[in-house]
Amino acid sequence: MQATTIAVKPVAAAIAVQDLTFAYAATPVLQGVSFSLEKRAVGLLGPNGSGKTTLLRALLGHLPLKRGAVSVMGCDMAHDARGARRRLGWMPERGGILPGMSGVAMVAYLGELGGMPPTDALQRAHEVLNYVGLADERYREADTYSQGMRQRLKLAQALVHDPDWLLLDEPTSGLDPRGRVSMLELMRDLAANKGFGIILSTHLLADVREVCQEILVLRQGRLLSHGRVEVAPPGATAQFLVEGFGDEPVFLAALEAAGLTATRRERLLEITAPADAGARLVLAAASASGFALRRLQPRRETLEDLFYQLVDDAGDARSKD
Amino acid sequence: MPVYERGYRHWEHSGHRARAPWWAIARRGIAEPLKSRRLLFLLAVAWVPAIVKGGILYFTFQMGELSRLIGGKWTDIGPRGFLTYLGWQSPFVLILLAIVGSGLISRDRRENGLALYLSRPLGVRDYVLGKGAVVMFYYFAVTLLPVWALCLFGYLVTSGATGLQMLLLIPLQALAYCLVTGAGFTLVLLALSSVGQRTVFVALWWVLLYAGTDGLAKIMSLFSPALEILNFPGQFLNAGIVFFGGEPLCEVPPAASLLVVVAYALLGAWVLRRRIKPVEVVA
Amino acid sequence: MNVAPTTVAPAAVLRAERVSKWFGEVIAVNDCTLALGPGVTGLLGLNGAGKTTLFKMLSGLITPSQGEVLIRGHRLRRDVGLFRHVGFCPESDALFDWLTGREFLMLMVRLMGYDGTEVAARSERALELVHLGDAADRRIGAYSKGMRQKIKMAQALAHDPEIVFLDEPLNGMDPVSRREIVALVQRLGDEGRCVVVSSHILPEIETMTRSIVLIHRGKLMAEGDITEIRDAIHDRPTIVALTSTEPRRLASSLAGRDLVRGVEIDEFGRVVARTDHAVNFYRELPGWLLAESLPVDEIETLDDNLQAVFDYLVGG
Repeated sequence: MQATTIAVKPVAAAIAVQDLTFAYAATPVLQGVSFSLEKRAVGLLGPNGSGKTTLLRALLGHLPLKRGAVSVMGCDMAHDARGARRRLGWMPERGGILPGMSGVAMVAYLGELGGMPPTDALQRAHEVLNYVGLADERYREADTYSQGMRQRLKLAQALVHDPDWLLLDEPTSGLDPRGRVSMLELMRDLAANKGFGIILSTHLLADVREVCQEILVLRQGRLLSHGRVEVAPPGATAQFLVEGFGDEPVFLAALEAAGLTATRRERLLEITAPADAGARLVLAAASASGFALRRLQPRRETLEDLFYQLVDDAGDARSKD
Repeated sequence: MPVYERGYRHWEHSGHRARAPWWAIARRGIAEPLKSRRLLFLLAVAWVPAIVKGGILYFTFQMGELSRLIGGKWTDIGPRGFLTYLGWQSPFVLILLAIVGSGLISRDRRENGLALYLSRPLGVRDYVLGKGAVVMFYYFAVTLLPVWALCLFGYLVTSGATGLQMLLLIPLQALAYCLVTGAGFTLVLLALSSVGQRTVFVALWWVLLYAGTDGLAKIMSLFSPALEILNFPGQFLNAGIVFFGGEPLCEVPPAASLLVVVAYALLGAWVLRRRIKPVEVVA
Repeated sequence: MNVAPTTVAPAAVLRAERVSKWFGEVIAVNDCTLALGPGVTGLLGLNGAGKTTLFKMLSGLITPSQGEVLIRGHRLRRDVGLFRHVGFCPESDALFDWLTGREFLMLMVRLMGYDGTEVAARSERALELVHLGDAADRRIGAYSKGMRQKIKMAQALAHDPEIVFLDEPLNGMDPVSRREIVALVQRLGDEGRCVVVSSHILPEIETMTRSIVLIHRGKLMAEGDITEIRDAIHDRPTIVALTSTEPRRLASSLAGRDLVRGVEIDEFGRVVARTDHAVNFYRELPGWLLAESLPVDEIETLDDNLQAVFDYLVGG
């Protein structure tokens, strides 16, 4: 690499959005959205038509902004969208294929358009296709790819120029269980081990849970909330979730005798116990009653809890959809 | 002994220079059709008239004064004669551009590929410039390039200063003509390609516009000669009079034809501006 | 590996007996025998495994090349009246885009053979079930993917069928709608209907039901309760992770037990034990821990979830 020194201004946040407002014709799509993100994996959630895709397009600098400001890695999108796009990889939800090209040709070509020298682009295209698991199909025409292969190809083209951030729009859409799991593994690896910032726009809380610790929730063009899954500080009592089999009434009686209360939540028992000795008391009750334990877990706040809490708090839980 | 990362590795820049985005697009678009043998054959056939013209040039220079006796449009080796040659090329322009140009944008639109381009550090202008360069390349390949080759051939075989003088300005005249008409054709074809979803339909519209108006205008001009102005390729050719000189090819003044060409180009540019956007406005 | 059906529902509402379907040389479903009772059943498989074909055969949309589908013992092919008991929400969404949701629904209900006031009442009720709200009076053409799913579901439920087939009903829905529809599916099952639902999102199937049917390359691979299926996969030891403040002592203690095949400490510091006799292991474990006063904060079985079972059977 050429030894050029670039004065790097310290940036507080990798992505900062200030009062972003946008409308198609007279229909408002985004209204006064503000947030800032550090380089992490962030889930972007919201009902259909809540503006998720439009927000991603704003981060790519595709929207003519009349109000508000978007800054991506220090580049103001109103003036230097190209500089930012050099360091962004985008995986669109629909389409995202250039017909008439082999997989590797397409990725190399888009790498070149991403500002890479031709030879680098070709080498990287092979590498990233390898990484996403398309090594054997890379010379086939992209038009003939199955849905699962298309999603991988789209991820490969987003990665080829080694961006800092990945903007992924419904990356697991249309995938079967096997395809979905491997796509989630790739995203998790990129976020956790390779230092990528990821914005994952999806309908699936399960996907976000696998990849992200932080969520942005949009609804009807407004930012409903921005939060992280926090570990709650330990209190005097804790909830334990228990799953098992055996003589349940005897087990429940043993729990009660130990001063613990249990309530059934579908196939799990939720047991409230003192935080310090809780697990031990449950084990003792199980042992005494011959109850077999498959699972004994302290209840934690999950992403689902957080999401539904945010949505429910924001008034009626009825979505526009 | 280092063990390298087996999964994803970050890119190490080789230090080579990257191509300008428009040039990368143009290269790709030019190289793609050249893989087809049929297209190469078509290109070869398109040079046959040039060989004929070369033969005429050769004999005219050889025969000297004698050639004056034969005369006529066919054997005219002056600027006007080169415009006639460009007229011969018209069918090749029609077919070649239909093959090469129809899918340039329509294919990208079909699978949302346009958005992929624009997610890269390039703008709408780079995109259109790159795609336009592809059409221009193939247009030049069957018009400007043969003319220049003929002129070069002419310089080599001529003996007298008159010959040299005759051919002296032609390369420049041809360049000006091909730049203007090429831009017109390119913008119109790209506009069609940006409107149509399917490449076949784009090609069909192009043929209809090119050959259809030609035929139609020929019939219409029987009633009123000025209706020749409806002839799409005819107007492009007639505008050549402005550059090459000589009698107009039809009842329309060449300057007016040039204006028609410019109007077509502007119309194409306007359509492209409306159609090539990073975000499609869905009502 | 084949897992024999662990439970045959005594009161099978819907039975498929050795059904197969082939299209030319392509075999989509190969010799499947199924018995489904009341409640929710998840139908799983990779793309192209034959799920949609099986759905269509079970609901009578296509006839099996071989075999028979029976509803309460009656042959579906013989008795057209049985279709009244079946509701089907297909995966494809070819709808009448020019109608409003309500018009479409009323048309479908009328086609079902209801008349007059009944049509309006049933449509209204079905719209409420799926929470379509004021979108009911907009044109379907302007619907989002999630709304289209909802109107398709309303159409499947309007005639109050006993058997409901839902092919990928959650596809394209946002999280809030998903929660509503998951709750609706659970309720339909609790009401005693036979609900067959497919989804690629395995955790979502798991929230709806523990009872699954898994097909792979046209063949039935497993049928029954997820945990029972897991326990029936004998060639894979069960993996249990324990979180402890004294992992080394816990690990060495477990390693000494006959029921435990292997112990390791994973990258998170958890003690991970493998056992071939999961049932006995679970039963004995609390006793062991108390006897040696080994501190344990958390016990988690890593591979008894649907994803793990799916991977084991299909070969992830």
